[in-house]
Amino acid sequence: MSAPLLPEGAPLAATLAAALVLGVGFGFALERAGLGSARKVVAQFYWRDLAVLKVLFSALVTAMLGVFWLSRFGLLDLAAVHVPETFVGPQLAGGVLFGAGLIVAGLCPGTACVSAATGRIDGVFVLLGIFSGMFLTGLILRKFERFYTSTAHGAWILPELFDVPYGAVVAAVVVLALAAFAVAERIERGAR
Amino acid sequence: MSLRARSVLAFATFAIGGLAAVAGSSQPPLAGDEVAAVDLAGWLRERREKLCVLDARSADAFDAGHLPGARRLADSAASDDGDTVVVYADRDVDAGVADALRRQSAARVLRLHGGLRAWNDEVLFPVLRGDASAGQRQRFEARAALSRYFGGTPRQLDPGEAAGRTRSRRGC
Amino acid sequence: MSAPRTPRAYADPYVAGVALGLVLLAAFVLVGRGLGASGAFASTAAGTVALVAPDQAAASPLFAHYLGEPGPWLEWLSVELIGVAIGAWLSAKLAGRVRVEIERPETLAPARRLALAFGGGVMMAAGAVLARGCTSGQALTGGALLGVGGWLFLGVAFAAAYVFASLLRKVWS
Repeated sequence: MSAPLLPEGAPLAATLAAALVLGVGFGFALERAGLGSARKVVAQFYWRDLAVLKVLFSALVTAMLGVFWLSRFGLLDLAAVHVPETFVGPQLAGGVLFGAGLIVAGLCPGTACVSAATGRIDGVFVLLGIFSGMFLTGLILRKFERFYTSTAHGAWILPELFDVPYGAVVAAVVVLALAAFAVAERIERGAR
Repeated sequence: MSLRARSVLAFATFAIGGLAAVAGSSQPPLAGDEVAAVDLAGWLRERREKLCVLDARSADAFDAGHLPGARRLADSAASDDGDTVVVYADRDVDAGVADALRRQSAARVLRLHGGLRAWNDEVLFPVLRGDASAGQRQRFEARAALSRYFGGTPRQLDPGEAAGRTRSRRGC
Repeated sequence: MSAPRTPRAYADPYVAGVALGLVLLAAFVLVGRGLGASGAFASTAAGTVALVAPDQAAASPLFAHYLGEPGPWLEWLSVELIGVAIGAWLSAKLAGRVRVEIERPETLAPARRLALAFGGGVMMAAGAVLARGCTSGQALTGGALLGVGGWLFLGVAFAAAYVFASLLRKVWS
């Protein structure tokens, strides 16, 4: 088990250098896909152009299969990979708020950064909004702290929730994604 | 991308995903000469005959704590000890250590997968998630019984605990 | 390299998606964590508040989280997001897509577009705080690691976006 190559406690400079390089790749791929364009992102939700779904799910599936097989061959220690925590209640509420904000703004935080970096002023305003929103939320969050920390499940994964092998969930996600791609292609052909 | 390329990509993804379902666990399978901590614990509990457990660590580490019934590798002549020899260290034992033992002895030589660390995590102090299902709880009972037999403590994890992790690992 | 005059077409979404997935996988392999975006804003806000009103910052469950080692100004996600901007600019430059403009439907006044962009940003920030991540940190990273929260957020955010899209049809048509 060699990977992660820079686990927790690795030199900060090396970790931050990796952050910069990975960020460049992330931004490059998002821009190539066209997700720095608010109209292209929003088109997803009017069934006109389903690039958001295609990019998100093909990235998710690629990384998921990579993680599974690297771990399976003993090349990646899954226990050392941080799984974002689950807070059921706050994530339900946050998901609704985020989804609404996504349509109002036309961009999500990552793609807004791409949009701003490629000259779009609306992207800059989304970033300003997010920054202001962080101030606001951070300052009033104390009043909602009980809700904010409720229904905590820590690092909780679907194989634990459904009590099935990891590989079975991986296969199910692949089937789901391929079905979604097939439907997306059909919808786009119909929309044209 | 052409339709043909898309079909090939889709089929390859389907195949790699399907193989994941066949593989099941995300953990690598044990090597042929490895034994899992829980299996070794079962053997020790049923007092399997002609089983010899060898500690490949230093004398100090051995004195500070070792597996029940284990002897130091350096002190023992493994050659005439039973027909199964299990050798362990803090983590995985080098395959070379096991090979050396095999040259001296006709016994089946196995390495404890994950070493003493796995013994502690899986046998002595197994953890049950607070949000586990009834089936998961039931299966955990067997592990808990094994843990108590060896003087360990089965633990229940309050899932909220994980929320207080170090910040550097937090995602977005 | 000189940029072509007419912007090049965007890449195939599946190819771009697989490339993005490989970057995410590289993040898991290199540093044992995924990608993100909203956390960069949270840590920067935390650092700013800590300069002006340290008590307020320490008392906030959101800001306090970013004030430990190595401090809010050396947050991993902030550095990563600087990389995102560089990578995006590089890609757009090579394809002749860098253009200063306010991207909007023709029926939407520029000032209104900017106001909505700002307001939507505020809403997304609040949502991302509650969800402990945004599309990148929770949906993509959590989703790839089969996190329950990631899939929950992905499903709810997509569903909510579709509902609000039908309510805001006039804005984006």
